Amino acid sequence: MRYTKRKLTSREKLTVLRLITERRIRMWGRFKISSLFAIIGTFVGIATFFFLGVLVQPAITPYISDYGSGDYFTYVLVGMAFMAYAGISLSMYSNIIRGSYWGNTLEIIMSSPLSFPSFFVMTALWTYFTATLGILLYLLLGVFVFGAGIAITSTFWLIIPLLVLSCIAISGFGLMSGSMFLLADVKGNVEPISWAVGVLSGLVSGVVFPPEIFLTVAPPLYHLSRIIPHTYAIDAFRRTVLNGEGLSNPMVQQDFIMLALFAMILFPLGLYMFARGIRKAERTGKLARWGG
Amino acid sequence: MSIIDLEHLTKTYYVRDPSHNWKTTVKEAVGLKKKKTLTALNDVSLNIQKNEIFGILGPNGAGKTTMLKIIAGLLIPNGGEATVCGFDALKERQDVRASCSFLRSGGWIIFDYKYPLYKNLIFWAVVMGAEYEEVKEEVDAVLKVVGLHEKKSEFPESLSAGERQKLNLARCLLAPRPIFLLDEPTVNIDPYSANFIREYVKNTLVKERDMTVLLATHNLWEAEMICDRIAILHQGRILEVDKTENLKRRFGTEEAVFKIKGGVRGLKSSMEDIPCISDVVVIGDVVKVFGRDLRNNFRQIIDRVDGYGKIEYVDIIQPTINDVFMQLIGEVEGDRE
Ligand SMILES: Nc1ncnc2c1ncn2[C@@H]1O[C@H](COP(=O)(O)OP(=O)(O)O)[C@@H](O)[C@H]1O
Ligand SMILES: [Mg+2]
Repeated sequence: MRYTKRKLTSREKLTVLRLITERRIRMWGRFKISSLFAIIGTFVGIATFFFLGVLVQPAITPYISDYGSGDYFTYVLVGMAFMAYAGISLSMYSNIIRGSYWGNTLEIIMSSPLSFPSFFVMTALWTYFTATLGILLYLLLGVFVFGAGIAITSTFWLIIPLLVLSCIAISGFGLMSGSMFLLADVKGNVEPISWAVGVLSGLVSGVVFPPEIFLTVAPPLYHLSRIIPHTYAIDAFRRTVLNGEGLSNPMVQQDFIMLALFAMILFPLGLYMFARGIRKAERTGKLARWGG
Repeated sequence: MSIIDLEHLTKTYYVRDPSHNWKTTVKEAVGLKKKKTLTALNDVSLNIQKNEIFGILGPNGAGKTTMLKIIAGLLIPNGGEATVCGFDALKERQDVRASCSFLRSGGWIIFDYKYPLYKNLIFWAVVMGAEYEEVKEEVDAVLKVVGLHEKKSEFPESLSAGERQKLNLARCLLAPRPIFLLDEPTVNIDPYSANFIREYVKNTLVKERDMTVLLATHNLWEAEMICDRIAILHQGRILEVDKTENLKRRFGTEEAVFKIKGGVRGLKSSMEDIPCISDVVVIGDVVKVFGRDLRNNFRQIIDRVDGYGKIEYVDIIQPTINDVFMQLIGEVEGDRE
């Protein structure tokens, strides 16, 4: 047997990706029942907003008439779909770090020629892939069972760069959150950074109601909504999916610019903190849960 | 050619006792309180040659694992230098890591408990950079070496402690690298399998495949069996490094046993002037002579004993690394009382 490689070719990386995916699928298969329940939960969640929409539609119409036909249910459906994605970028890194710490695999991953970034990307691909399946199901249920007004418009392709950009920006927070595990010894399931971003974005970024509502009742919250990437991403998402607005639209342009700015600031910052966290663990000998 | 070079390596850990709280953290940060530290390695210098089986022997907490982790590029030392396979363990960490296959005690925890053994092995070997096609072919052979071939399609969840350790070892064997770091490799493994594994390490890995093995253990007997050289580590310090044979000769105690027909009265005192003898014990008609290097002074000893009666039998019991260990560690431990 030859010695292991110090660097992997793209083909060898693909083999690793295949094995990681194979294993993930098997793990997934072990939890078929829980997947089924998750789908039922999604269905009930959608229904809740459908019925809520019947009630609040008249009051909310003036606020959301900018988006599509101004239908509240459709509005929420798109917001929730985006948040599912955003949630992954936010929690994935700390999940991977937490999992590999408790499972003692961090040292092994670091000794692999795969390198950390490739490992993260490989794990992420599968996570985003399953999330995409889930979101598709969500949207399909919304459209075909509850009659949401989503159609494939000519600018639909924009959601791909939009999602990538949002994922990068929010991954900045995700990486910071992951670094807390090592830097600040935050070993619990609730990590302050991702918790704050998660809770805040749910409240102010316009998932279930537009942030403009705050202008009259709580102006500080409106300003808060302007300084997180989610707000811009959700707005752009709705404009492209519901209105068919493209990059020629100044609002969409602004959203993209803001997202790019967030990505440029948050992602490197997240990477830096993450690297610091790993470095700290290498000094304190706490890469693994157990010494030996 | 030395493949691992450690120069004045020092590692101190920051320890937090259970009484540690946020106030302690603040006090330590502003310098009101000194951080509590533990010196796990204290000025360790070593050269390990290519193709050597090098033993690191020491009691629990001596710093064996700490040393291996630094060599594996997984722990940053506080001071000193480490060069592994020509790479600087502080600056070229990724290359250092890729040079070592590290068997961690308790490392089996990485296995997916509900994924067949051989698939688990293939997975981790490929992640560690082994060729997929090659690993698929070799997995059976490696499972045979560790003695798990019969269970290859079972799930790790059903393995016993020793079998889990074997699985962990198989993972390292399947992803070979120039340096093999074995941290208490045969813990929990039965003597028969352990022997087989030792033979494999010695004959196949080192002799045939040119690997270098570092064995950290407190299983003295095992170290004695396969190590070319041994370092005795205690409380982060290296007490002695030498060839296994030399250590035994220098620090071990030989024992010569005579059974004599005739009187033994006065024998004890008559032998005390022979310099290599440290003690003589007489039990009935059996005389036990303790000392170093008795073999080379045997003529003189025999002559003395012979004067007292007919020697019925003679036996020389060689020192073991166990004696060396007890002697060296005992000296230090004794000092602290
Ligand atoms: N990450 C750590 N943080 C604090 N103390 C540690 C850490 N790892 C090991 N130690 C301490 O350092 C000493 C040496 O540990 P180790 O190298 O694991 O010893 P051993 O020779 O048994 O393998 C022990 O007293 C241990 O408690
Ligand atoms: Mg140890």
